[in-house]
Amino acid sequence: MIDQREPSDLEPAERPIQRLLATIPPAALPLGFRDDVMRRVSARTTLAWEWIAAAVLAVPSLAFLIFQLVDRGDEVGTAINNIVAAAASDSSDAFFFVDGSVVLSLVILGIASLIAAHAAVVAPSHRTPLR
Amino acid sequence: MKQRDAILVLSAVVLATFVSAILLAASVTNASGAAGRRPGIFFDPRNPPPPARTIGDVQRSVPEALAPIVPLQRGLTDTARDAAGYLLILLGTSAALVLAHEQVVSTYRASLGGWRAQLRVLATGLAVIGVGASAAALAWIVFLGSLSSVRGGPLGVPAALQVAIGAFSVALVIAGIAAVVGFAAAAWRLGDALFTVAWLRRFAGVPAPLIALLGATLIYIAWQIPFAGGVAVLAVLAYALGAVVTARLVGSAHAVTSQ
Repeated sequence: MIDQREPSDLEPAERPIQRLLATIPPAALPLGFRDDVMRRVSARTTLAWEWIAAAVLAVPSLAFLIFQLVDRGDEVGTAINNIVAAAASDSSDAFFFVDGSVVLSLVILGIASLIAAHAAVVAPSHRTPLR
Repeated sequence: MKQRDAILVLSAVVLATFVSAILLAASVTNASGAAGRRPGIFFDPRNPPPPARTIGDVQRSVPEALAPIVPLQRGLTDTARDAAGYLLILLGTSAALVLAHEQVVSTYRASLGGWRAQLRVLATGLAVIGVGASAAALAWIVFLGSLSSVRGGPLGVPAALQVAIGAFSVALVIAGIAAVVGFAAAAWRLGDALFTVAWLRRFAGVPAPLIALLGATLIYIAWQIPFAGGVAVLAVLAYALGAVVTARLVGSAHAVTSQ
């Protein structure tokens, strides 16, 4: 059964094409056709580079931050104690300093995490149940 | 993997190698055994941090292979420390574009239009800020006024105050998330507006995330202008919140008309 009804929002130039396509009788697609097309359209391999790039960027920054925490953990503890003490005192002045390499590594780690998050978020939408 | 993907991975490897060299130099120069090193993180209400060593001193104390990198490492890390706020804005905008992509796109669409639409979004945002500030102030007034009845209750005043501060913080976080989504959309719109300039139109094929980051950069630069920066930030915040509210209203209107 061919549906001869035309959509109401067609432009005049689109009507002949609509009529032509409407005359084609519907046919069942071969088994697995849809999955094959979707596999090509979704191009899952494009996500692989995101995971690789995320890992490559994250590893040095993560290693640096862990090393800093191991090597200079006492400084972090002292700074936190001073912050808590300053919050409870009426001091109107404070001095703060952070090593720029820590900032740099945190930014690189954040970017790497975002790339990984993008790969993780995009991946499930490409998976379709088998038909 | 396509050629483009391979190039991107190669770029990431080159960047990671460069960053690794910088971080290695930073680790060696500031290792726990190094003499006269500065703390990695320092906060003190009374004493300033110890002064930094000169680059020459540092170069003499590190292995020869790392000595040429030291000036670059010092310059880059000092720049990164100074630009922490800017990097945070870029990271927040990118996070909104990745993690709340649909919300950013719907907010962006809601803010499309001529100057009348832009003005309406801005006015909506200012109204939202006004309502939020008034409601928050009144809520605190009502709450603090009712503390006298809490005094004899089971919780007591300190616990009631802590609960109120906690609830207020949650409300601020929710408003902050909406503001970040709106900020990303506003930055995107600003980047779009920049590419309507005649001599920039040839670069109109730039990907949308880069346009949004460019817009965020412009907003950050505007923020740094004395006096006008505060007004610019308020206008951006109002526009961001206005765009989010407009998107919600447009979405609700579509839902009602489709029923």
